[in-house]
Amino acid sequence: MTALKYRSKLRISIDILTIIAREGGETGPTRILYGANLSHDRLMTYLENLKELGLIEEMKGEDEKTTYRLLDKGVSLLSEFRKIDRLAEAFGVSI
Amino acid sequence: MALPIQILRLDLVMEPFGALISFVIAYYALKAYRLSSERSLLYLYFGFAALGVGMASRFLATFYLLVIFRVRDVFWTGLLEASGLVYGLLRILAYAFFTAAYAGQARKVKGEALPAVLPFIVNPFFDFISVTMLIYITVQSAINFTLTKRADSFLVFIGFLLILFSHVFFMLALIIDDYYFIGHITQLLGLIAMLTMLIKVSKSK
Repeated sequence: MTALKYRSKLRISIDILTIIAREGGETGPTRILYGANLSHDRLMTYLENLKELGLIEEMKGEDEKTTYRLLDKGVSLLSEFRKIDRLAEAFGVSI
Repeated sequence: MALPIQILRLDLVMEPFGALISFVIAYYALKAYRLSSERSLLYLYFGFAALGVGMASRFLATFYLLVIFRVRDVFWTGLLEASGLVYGLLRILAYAFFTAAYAGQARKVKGEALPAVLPFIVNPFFDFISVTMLIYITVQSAINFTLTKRADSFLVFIGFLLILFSHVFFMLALIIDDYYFIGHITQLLGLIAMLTMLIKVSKSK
């Protein structure tokens, strides 16, 4: 039987931010959806939350396509999270 | 041959350094907990904070009683013994928190003063309990290192291993005084290993 790894809300949010960062700091919801492995509804909830926290912003292109852009606060959070993730891992704690 | 008393007294210098390192690690563990809400990180924070408070309090007690008041009578040695008990209890508390975290996953002292007061500042019973818990913590950190194969985990493992050895040396100090100093050196090296890990982590991008 395959063991499913539980992802905390923080980890899912970080995964979303990481995907946007990997795509050059801005990307559309479809890429995030596949990358974060979430249902559409759950993804939208997370994106709303990240927007409210000022970590990302929603952009509308000329073709009316929606993209999400990583803000400075999001970049700082990602950098901070990587450090605490390493610290936690060093002590055998998974976040 | 016994170590000169001037060297044995270096514990007065090493203990505050150990306390400082413990507080720094505690601060980062708390920072990590605030961001992640992961309970094990909170336990690590409490553990290192308790260790830091214990080391700082014993340094202050030893420094004031031995250096400032030049302890001689029963009352003062009683106070010194009490500070040793508090330190021992705080250490056990700290290791209990570490266990919980893993389970979830110099000024000059009178020449002869130190050997004379060793029985008051070294408590073999507490050290024995500490060793028992540290064996579990060290084994868990070793397992973590074998799983992650990362230098950070290795430094944490080495840190706990050295702290474990330090308690063995503290127990042996009741037989041979020199082990008291060796225990302090080993304990400080253990905390330095963890500080090195912390510096590596904080410099990472």
